[in-house]
Amino acid sequence: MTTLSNETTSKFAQAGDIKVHYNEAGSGDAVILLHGGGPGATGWSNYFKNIGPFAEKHRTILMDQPGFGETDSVVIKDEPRDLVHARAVKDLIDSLGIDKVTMIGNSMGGASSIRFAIEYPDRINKLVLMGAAGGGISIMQPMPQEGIKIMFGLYNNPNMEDLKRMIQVFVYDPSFMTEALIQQRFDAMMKHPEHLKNFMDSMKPPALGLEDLTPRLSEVKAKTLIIWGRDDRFVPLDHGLKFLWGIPDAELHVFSKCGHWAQYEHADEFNQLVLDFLDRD
Amino acid sequence: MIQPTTRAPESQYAQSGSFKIHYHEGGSGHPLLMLHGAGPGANGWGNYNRNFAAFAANYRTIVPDHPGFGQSDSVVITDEPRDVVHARAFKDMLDTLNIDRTHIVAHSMGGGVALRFAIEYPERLDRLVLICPSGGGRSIMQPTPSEGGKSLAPVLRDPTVDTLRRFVHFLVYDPATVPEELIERRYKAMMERPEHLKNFLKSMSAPVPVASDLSSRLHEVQASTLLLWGRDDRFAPLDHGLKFVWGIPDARLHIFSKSGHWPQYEHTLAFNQLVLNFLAG
Repeated sequence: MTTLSNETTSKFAQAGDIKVHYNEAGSGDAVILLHGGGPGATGWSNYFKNIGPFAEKHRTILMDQPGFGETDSVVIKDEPRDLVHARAVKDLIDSLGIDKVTMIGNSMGGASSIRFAIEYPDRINKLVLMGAAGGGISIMQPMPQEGIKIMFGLYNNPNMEDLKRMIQVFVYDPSFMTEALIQQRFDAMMKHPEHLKNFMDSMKPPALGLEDLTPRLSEVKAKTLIIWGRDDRFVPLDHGLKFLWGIPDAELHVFSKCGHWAQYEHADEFNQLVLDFLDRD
Repeated sequence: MIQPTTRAPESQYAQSGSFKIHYHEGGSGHPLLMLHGAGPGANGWGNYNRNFAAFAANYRTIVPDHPGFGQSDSVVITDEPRDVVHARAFKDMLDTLNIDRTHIVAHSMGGGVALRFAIEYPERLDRLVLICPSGGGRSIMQPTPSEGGKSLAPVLRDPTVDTLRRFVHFLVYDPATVPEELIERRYKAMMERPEHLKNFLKSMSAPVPVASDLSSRLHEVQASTLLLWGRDDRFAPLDHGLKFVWGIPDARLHIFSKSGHWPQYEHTLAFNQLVLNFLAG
């Protein structure tokens, strides 16, 4: 297997009125992976440990969502953010000539993926969610969660110290996060200050943010694998249970000693679990 | 639809301390012990016949009947918790078979026994797979005893096809997946050893638990552990799965939806794949 890099897999496509950046590798059934909503998050930064194994079996696309990475910046006021993102995915696969995709989403990208499954049921194969947003209120933890509070602070005032604080609670074992990785994330965050400002503008009332999708989970027709970190400090584990009860055909896998980033913290187990799930009838 | 493997390997017996233990064995390689649950008429083969072939293809797979079940010796247990007695019997069985270390896959009461085994005999255990195990104490989400648990004693007191059918239907999410032949086969097995039923009932009225509450000792489990649960389990409450994934140091929890207390029967293919991957490390 050749080693993939951000540079060699980087591509752009027009998706409706948004120019979308994505990384692509491999061939076969298409899989789109959507990153989370932290400042500086991109498809590559979220999934660089996963794209290699996935690309051996699938046409693997890491999409920068609207307002993230090298995709166009957006201010979203009139619609829920997850709906805008889901539409951008649909426009992207139209533009790439892809009929059906498997959606894999982390955190905010999980909410975008659930929304995609609800809005475009004939365009989705399977659905995989890691610490997915879109579950509304917690019934077990005070909100906003510890990690979310730090994240919004960082959006308002991007700085290295708070970035490190966020990473401390982002993963179960912060020693995973190398200085190089933290620096990369800092650089990514500072590269597009317009994304940060626009994200916060899109959170101010009356903007809608991410919608509580729990009343609509029964509309998810795709077979779904829900994955959670036991020690998630961004999106609470009880949302995993809510999704398990609400989505008609779902299973839930909980990693212990795992925060909000299962695909990174337990990359090998994650890759096998998800690839097997995609293989299964 | 998975068909059961119709023919069990020939019956074998091992003197295990004071018990003569009946078992079936197949395959070669690293030892794997599969422990069944506690319902009336339960035995190793009845519990795992849909799974045996897949495991025997990879492991020296040993499927015993617990003391007081199937064709193993009957017993009235009055002085020690039942899980202690069974765990010791299986340790003795390993001694007799000259097995130093084994993987264990264990279901329901067998899971409580396996937990006890993991705590008492850590040097004899490699990997541990617990399927909706007992041993979690009280539920914090459901009234105790559970609906399914309450259906046990009526079968022991009045063993008929009808009381047994009622019990078995509580075991699964969808009773339509249990053919009447299975009930009849189990009824026949149950009536071959009516003393097991009487003795279990007597043991239940003794001042020792059938399944100790091991929640305070979970941190002593050194084995890498996979927990499997049915979302719709009417015997072992799902919150025990969460308790175990918090308490056991190296654990992961996988929950099937539309699954009751018998996921290895209800979700055979996914079950076999998950467990085999986990055992392979």
